Amino acid sequence: MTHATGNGTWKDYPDTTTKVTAARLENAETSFDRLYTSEYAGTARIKRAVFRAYRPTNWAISGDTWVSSGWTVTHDTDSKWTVPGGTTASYYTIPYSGRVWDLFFKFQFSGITGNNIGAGKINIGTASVAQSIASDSRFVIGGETNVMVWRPSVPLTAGDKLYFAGWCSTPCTAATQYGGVVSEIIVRDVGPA
Amino acid sequence: MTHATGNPVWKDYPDTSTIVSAAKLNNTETVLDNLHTSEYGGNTRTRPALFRAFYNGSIAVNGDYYITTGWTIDIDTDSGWTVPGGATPSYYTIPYGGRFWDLLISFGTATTGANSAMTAKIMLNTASATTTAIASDSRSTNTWEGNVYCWRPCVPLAAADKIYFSMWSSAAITVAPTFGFWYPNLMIRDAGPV
Repeated sequence: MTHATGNGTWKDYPDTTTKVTAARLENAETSFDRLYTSEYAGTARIKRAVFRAYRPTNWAISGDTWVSSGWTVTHDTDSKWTVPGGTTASYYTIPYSGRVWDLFFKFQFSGITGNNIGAGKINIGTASVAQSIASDSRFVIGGETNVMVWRPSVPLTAGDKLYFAGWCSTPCTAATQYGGVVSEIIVRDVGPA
Repeated sequence: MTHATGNPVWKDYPDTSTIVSAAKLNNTETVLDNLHTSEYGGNTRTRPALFRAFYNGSIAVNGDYYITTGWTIDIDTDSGWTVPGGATPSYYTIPYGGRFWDLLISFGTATTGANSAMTAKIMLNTASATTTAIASDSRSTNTWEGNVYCWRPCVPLAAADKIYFSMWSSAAITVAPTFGFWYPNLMIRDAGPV
């Protein structure tokens, strides 16, 4: 049998004819290094990058409305969430290259009726809906509306900036609903590109 | 070069001056432990927890409908699915802590109500669609097919947390497999360390 290391089956040691060679030991190390790189994106890391944030208060959406201040960050392994402040769009900076990323942006509102539309966008590079890489839209008759922008396995580069925008055809207010359904952003490394 | 183990480059052995130290061997064991824990949720596990179930029948939904009996378990690595029976909601018990979990309930129907809505909820610890939901989806409908996809990824949960599922419709609908193999389905999966 050949192992993932490339090594053949081991013998008992000490052995009079076969050494425990540096090459074989290095093969094992290299195999660990590959697994670490695949699992964590580097041999010096111990977990993948994850960013999670939610909106604890109401979020008024009128026209294109960028996620800016007022969001609570629950997980940010690489400290990549930047909040310029005020109504200036906040953004997440991709911390390293060579990976694919799951992108998720969700908000929900009620109180809008009659043939309206709610939409969400995830944008790359600049805060412009003309820079969208993910989008969702929901037709509103009445009751609750859930906008969920979800794009899995997106290859991104270190330094890429991600922005998030809500939109509604008439002003609306996104809020926490039904106990714990929160407006939320998730960016997570899901493995090598 | 320093490896993930922290070990420097190895030498050929036997060697008269450098021993194969316990520290170096334990370093290699530790990285394997780390990888097992990261990948599987613990160093005695061989796979991460995954639960999948689907419904191969018809469910009449008009108002709230909590997931109860009649679902076929496709995969349940940790035997986490509990079915009390009757009209009592069934639930999945999170088998271990310190992890993120991806949660999904999705279903479709071939015919919906005119100017109506259908929704789904995923609830934490208590089956109450109006007060304990942690994930929600909704679709406006107008007689044609309708599909609800209630998905929340990367949720940090604790061991013994209970996950419930429900559907809702403002008009009477029949939830069932549609278009061949599009079954109503549930999915919970370990998505890695918190």
